[in-house]
Amino acid sequence: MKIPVIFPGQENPAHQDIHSYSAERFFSSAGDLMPAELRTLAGDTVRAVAMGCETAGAKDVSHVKAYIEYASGFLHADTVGGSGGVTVAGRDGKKAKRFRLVINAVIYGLPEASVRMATEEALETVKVQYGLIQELPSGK
Amino acid sequence: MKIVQIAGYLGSGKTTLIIALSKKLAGLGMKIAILVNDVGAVPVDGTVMQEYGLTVKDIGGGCICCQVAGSLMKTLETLATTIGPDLVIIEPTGIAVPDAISQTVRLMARKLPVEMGHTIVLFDTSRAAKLLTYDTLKRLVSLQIRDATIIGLSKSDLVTVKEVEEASKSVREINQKAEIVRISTVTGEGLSSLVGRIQGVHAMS
Repeated sequence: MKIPVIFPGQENPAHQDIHSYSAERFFSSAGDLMPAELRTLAGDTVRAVAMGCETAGAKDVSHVKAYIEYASGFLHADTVGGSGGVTVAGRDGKKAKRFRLVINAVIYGLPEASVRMATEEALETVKVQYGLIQELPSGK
Repeated sequence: MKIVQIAGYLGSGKTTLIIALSKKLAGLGMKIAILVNDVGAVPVDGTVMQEYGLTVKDIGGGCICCQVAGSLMKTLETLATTIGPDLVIIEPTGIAVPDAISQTVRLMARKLPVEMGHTIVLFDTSRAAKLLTYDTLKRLVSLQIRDATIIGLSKSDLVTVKEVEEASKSVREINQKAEIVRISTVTGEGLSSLVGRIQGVHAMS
């Protein structure tokens, strides 16, 4: 087995073909979102990103994670795509009108630009689906 | 200050396992600190662990196995001199090569009272075939397995006994020395075994 040579400050050659994209959004909703709805939203978000990446040709949806923070609770969701299903956990609070969403997609075998596009498209889909208003757009 | 690494490919269940183990170890009176390195520019894992009440230091800006190895050294030094935990659990990125991190810790051991404990590498049994299919992915996953002192066959609740056995056989071909433990954070399988191993081993070469 070939052992990668790593030079200080450089990326490990073993990381080849793995690309990530992260985004942070602050959303608000006209009506109250119940904790159960937020759980569904968290799951729908990671599922939409994973499906978008698979459709775009990803060899492996290595990990798509989401974190939702609201005034009285938090949620985290993740999937590895395919038949792996979606896991949602956290601490439910009271109903919320505003929340912060962080999404982190790490994909094998899909160019960085495609990971970014699939993630952004998924976020837009979820925004429309749940009637959300984006307060502060930001992507990294 | 003992240092244990819980590594493994993306989505193999590292964060969930660390939360579960930390609660058990803290319940036994150990002072635990967790050092997390996330792939994404906006961290998720460290934030989630903090929400569960754990003591977490987040290292961002790249992978600690290569790009930001210096940050790992500085953070370990800060932990040793300020919090002084009994045990530091390092969660590297899912693309990290564990041996590079172990080497950094051994370097630290020359000037600080730290000792390297187990390198636990998780292998997702529900994706076993896929992870060992593509050339570059197989190379990375194989490197991770090669560096393990314990291989955790994770998500054992999602697959059949036969699939776990096949996964076990695959990892054994890559690493002939490591202990192999079946793990499920859903059923609790393997957790007590890992707690015992983390507590009992004081130095690994």
